[in-house]
Amino acid sequence: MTGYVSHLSYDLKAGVRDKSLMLMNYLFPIGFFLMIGMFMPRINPDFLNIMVPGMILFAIMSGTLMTIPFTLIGNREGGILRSFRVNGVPATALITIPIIGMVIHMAITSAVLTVASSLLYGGVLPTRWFAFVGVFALTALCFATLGVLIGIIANSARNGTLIAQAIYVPSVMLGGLMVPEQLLPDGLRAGASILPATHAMRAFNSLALAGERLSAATSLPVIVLTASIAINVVLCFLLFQWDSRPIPARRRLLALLALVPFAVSIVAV
Amino acid sequence: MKSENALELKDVSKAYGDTVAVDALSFVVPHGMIFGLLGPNGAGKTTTLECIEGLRKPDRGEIRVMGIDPTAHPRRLWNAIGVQLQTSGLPETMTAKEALAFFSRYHGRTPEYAILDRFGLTEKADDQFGNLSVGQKRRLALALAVAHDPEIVFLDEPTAGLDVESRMELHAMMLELKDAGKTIVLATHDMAEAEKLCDEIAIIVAGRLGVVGTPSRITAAGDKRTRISVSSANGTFAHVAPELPEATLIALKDGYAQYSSENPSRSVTALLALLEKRNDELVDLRVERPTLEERFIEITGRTQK
Repeated sequence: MTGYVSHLSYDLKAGVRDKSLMLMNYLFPIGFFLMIGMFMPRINPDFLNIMVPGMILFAIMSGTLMTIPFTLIGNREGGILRSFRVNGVPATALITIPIIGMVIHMAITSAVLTVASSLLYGGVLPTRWFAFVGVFALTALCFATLGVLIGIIANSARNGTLIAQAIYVPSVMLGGLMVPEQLLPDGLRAGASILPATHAMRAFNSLALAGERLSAATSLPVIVLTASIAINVVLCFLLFQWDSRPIPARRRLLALLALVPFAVSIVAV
Repeated sequence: MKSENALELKDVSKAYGDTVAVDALSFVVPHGMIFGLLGPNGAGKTTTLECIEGLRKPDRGEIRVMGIDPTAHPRRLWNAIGVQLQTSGLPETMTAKEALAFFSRYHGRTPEYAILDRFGLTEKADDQFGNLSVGQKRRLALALAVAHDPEIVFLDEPTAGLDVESRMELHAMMLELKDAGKTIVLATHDMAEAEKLCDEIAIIVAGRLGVVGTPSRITAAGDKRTRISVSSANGTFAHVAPELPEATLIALKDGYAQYSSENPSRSVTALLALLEKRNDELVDLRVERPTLEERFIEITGRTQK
């Protein structure tokens, strides 16, 4: 157990020491928030209603999709995972520690963004804080597990970038972070349900901001995010490998199962 | 109960698809010695080490490391062995002290920071791995490999790319570990290093065992011919080298004549007599037995043919 504690302690420090991690975990999302907060409410006054969850989601996506896969790929390609293995570091630690570490980093960034949104720009604060924290945890875990999964299945940093960007870019544009989902054309709105960001924003908006109780009508995003976390974790353990040899294509296709909860949600809606 | 040998391999084979990396390899390493694993690139050294270290599963054969079967009990094995891999093996932002705590705790031990002093790293304890010199990185890797007090340590080319001073330092540390009763398995390309440090060596060629034994025995078992290099003041060996009994001229270069002799004593006596007769003066005379390197080339060349 002390190995895990030592590992987590290092992981948290690395998130600040490593310049690229520091940038993506803290500087980039906070800088982006400061910049967008100056003009976005003037273009779209309703943006203040979604500013807090939108910026938090942006931070989570930057911190997870843009860092976790590359740390994992770099460690695998640099022989660090092999070195860890012969020193008794279990695969469980290499999968779970980056997830826990990232949730902690994102909790700090999210706290800063929430307070600053309200103080600097008058962003609307959540009405139900307990639900807000719950949805934050689900969202952070969903994206962090997805980040680890990308790191596991990607054969190279370039390949990892392609996969991560394929989720990140459409999420920023269509996930409801910048433009409320209701303003999207019907076809895009339905298609946006394939993105985890869309479900996270729906959960934030209904449960944390609008103060709705968990019910049959509001539970779908929570169920989808929870199912996604469970599937991602199972896939991480199933596909994890210590070596830099590419995962056979057939096994990599298994990773598409991570999309199942989102695909099912489109049908369900 | 202590196992009879520190390491035992019996008919170990490993293939990747159609490529046979290790082919029926067998050898034993007694406790407390430095055992060298030599071979040309692609000979199967790394695969052999990976099978021994529990990183790969052999297709056939039996491996016992301190009596432990690496395939059946990898976790037990990893607590009993120390490994320094060829690659750096640490994240750039991890400090030497953190690395020690990290690995020690995963081995279920309290970190003993005094080991950093033993490896000359006290002043670098709080420096990040990425900021250490190549020599310091290698010393740290060695310190981490032995921090949990394993009985046997595997070192994969620990001195590759190091300057002479760092290499000497690392050699001294290896000998210190041997004196402390540790068994060291050293994979290296450096023949001088193997000859200097190893009690026994195994030369692997194309996945098979070429030869195993002490460096001096392996060298002696090869080509029996001795090399004689000679140079004189008045040009006896400048342009046309004279014939010597039981010796063949190999080269004539830069005022030196090089002979290969089956009977060095007779050849050298004749050579000195010749100089006396020609009223010439000896400037340099070297009589050299074949080195381990030459023997290595002989073995690898012969086996590959």
